[in-house]
This record gives sequence, C-alpha cells and structure tokens, in this order.
Amino acid sequence: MLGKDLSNALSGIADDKIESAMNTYARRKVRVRQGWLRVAAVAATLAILLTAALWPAETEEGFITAPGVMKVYAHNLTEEGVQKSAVTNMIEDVRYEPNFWTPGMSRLFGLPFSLEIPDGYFGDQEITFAVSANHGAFWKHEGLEEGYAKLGDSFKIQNDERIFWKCSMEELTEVIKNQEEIYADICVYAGQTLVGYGIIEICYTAQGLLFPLRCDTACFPPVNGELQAVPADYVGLQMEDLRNQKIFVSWEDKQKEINAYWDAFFDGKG
Amino acid sequence: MEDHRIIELFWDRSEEAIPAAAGKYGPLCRQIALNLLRSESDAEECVNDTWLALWNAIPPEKPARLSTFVAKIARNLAMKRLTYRNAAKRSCVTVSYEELSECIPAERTVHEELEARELAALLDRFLDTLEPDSRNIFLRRYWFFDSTRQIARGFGVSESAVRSRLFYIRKKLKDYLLKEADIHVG
Repeated sequence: MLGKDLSNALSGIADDKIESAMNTYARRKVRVRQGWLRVAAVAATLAILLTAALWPAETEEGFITAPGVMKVYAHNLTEEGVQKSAVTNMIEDVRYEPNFWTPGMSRLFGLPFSLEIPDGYFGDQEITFAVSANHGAFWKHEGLEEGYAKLGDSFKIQNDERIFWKCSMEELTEVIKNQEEIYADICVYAGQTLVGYGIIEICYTAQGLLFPLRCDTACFPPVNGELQAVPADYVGLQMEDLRNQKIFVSWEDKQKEINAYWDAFFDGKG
Repeated sequence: MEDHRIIELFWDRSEEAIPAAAGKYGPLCRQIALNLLRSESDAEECVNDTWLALWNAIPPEKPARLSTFVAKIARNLAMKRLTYRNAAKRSCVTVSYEELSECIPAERTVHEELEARELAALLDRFLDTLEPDSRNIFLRRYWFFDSTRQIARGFGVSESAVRSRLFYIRKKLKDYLLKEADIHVG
C-alpha cells in the first residue's frame, strides 16, 4: 500500500467531514476580515508588522490581536559567536538551530532568551516584559564585576535584553519524575499598559537536556492610535489556553519523540 | 441558488444546470484541480471535465450534498489526470503522498490484513477520533491538497504549527492502522 492508496481512500470518507473542511476557511475569514477593517486606520504601523506577523484578528471580546509580533529568540553560543534563532512551534526547528542547555554545562550559564517588539510598534512608549517561570528561575548578566544576578519571581526586562533560564539538577529531577511541564509566562507592557502576552514551553529529555520547544505570543496593536485597554484577567485566560494547546497527544508521546530526536542528533544523524 | 434547485435543473436536463453549478462550485473545483495539477490550463480542462461528469452522473444520482459530490468528482478527475500526466516534478501532491506513506506501518502487514474496500471506512473512523480543527487541517492537506502555507493562512496560525499538527496526526494514524491490522488478524 502506498501513500497514494491512502489518499485515494480518502475519497470515500463521509461527506459531512469533507464539507466541514471545505467551509473551514470561510468560517475564519469573516472574523479576520472584520479585524482588518478596524485596524486599517493605523495601516502605516501595521504594514511593518504584517510582513513578519500573521493577519490581525478580532477576538470574541472585541479586542484586536496580532500573533507573531513579539519575537522570542533562543540564543546559541557557537564558534562564530552568539546566534539568535526565533523560537517557533516545531521540534524540527531545533534541528537547524540546536539550542540546549543542561545543568552542569560550562559554556552557557543557562538557556538564553531575548524578547523583542519591533521598534515603534507601540509608538514611543517604553517596552518592558514581565517574565515568570513555574520551574527554575531567570538570571541576567549584570556585568564583568557583578556577574549574574537571579531575577525575582516576576521581573521586568528591556527590549532585546538577554536573560538566562536555569534550574538545578535536583529541581529538574523532580520535574521529570512528576512529568510536569515547564513554562515561562510573558506579559508585555507599553508604558504601564498591558499590550501583549506569550508563553515559552521549555522541554527536557530523559538525560536532562533542556531546550525551547515552542512559544506562542500575541499582541494587542494600537487601534486608531490608542492602546487597547485589555484586562489582566483576560490575558491570564489566554495564556492558560496557550499552555493547554498541545502538539503531542500525551506526555509519553512527547518525551518519546523528543528523546528520539536528540538521540539522532548526537549520533550525527540529526 | 440552492443545491436542490441546481439538482432539479440537472434532472430536467436544463441547459442552465451547468452554468448554475459552475457559478456556485467553480472556484472550489478550480482550487482543488490547481492544488493537484499546478497548471492553469490543466486545471481548466479538469474543471470542464467535472461539469461533463456531473451532467452524466445526475440523473440517476440525487446527491444529498452537492458540494461534496462535485468536489469528489473534481478531485478524482484531477488525480487521474495527474497520474496520466505522470508528473516527475516534486509537487504538493507527491509531497502529500510521501507524507501519508509514513502512516503505513508495514506494506506487507497492511496489504495482507486490511481489504482495500475497508480502508475508506477505517479512515472515516480514524477521523472521528480527531478534534475538529485537526480533522479539518488533515483533510485540507490530504483531501484538498492545500499547501501548509495555505492552511496556515486559512487557520490563522504559523506554518510550523501546521506542520507540527500534521506530524502528530500522521503518527496517530499510523498507530491506528497498526492497531486495526492487529484486530483484523485477531
């Protein structure tokens, strides 16, 4: 049997499924079109973003969101220096830019990240990010003399500022034993206004390698030149939804897939 | 025009039947044909063949869902044309076939244990196990042959999210086929 045979057999599936798939884009197109019309007044600002971001969309609550505006970069230290690669949602991206860290690694202090909002996206408002993690902690390099400083449970950093996530082997062992997931939550502020959010999922292998598996972000672009007043509890719910979106059917499946990838990578087949 | 009215036109052998069907389902058929054939001229011929096939099928057919009936005809004709053309160039369709080949556990096992006519029913049952979005993404890729880019834009997600989701679904299908083959053997 070939893939073509499976493809041919798909012709015999129930009509309601085909019809649902047939109309699925149209159901989404209406909401996207409405959002696009509403932000047309700030097209000059959005034009910069749409080349890199997805189409703005309107939520059921009436907020305009723009996914992909905030970029999360994982950093890798190579012979050529520090390289940044955008964290997306596919394990295969790791294949091209293998950013990983493990407790006890000497060349990296922790798993390096930086967060970025394009210049001018929120006008001349200062951009800061509030970051917290459910396991481990974030650190920042304060200078040659000061060294690394542990950041609090929730801290603010500047645009494109590098931070490091790390945890102890003891904590990682507990996390693996309890089959827990590691997330970093991000809230974006323009001045004092909450204007975006995101989550980073940090994954681990059985051998204790840690790497960024995926991230999801969304911003609330200005509408008619004004920042949207988005309640913090609404953002909290959206972030919970993002954390609940899984690309693997089970924890076991995820670990099996991830371990297989890294085994192949270190065997030189990745 | 309502589907039942278009079907009536076919049954009445009215010369307005094909224009009515083409007006409503032409873009759909054209998109399916274009996804498979990647050629405007081939797609146009395929779409024209679709109306002829529809004229020959109705009557005696009285499809409950005209949209899917038309789409199936267009898809089957496009696939036949593609096979006939024997496209050597790597296309979205050959990529789709290759991706689906990953779902086949072992050619000998599935060939021996599952009859071909049961495969459609089996795939239908498998699709019932998926969440609606996953099901629709799977069908847009392997029934409609949309590119991952088209699917990403249609669903408002990143291409990498689409590829991840398809990867997971194919894996699930492979496990499902293995399990069905074992059950069939007993």
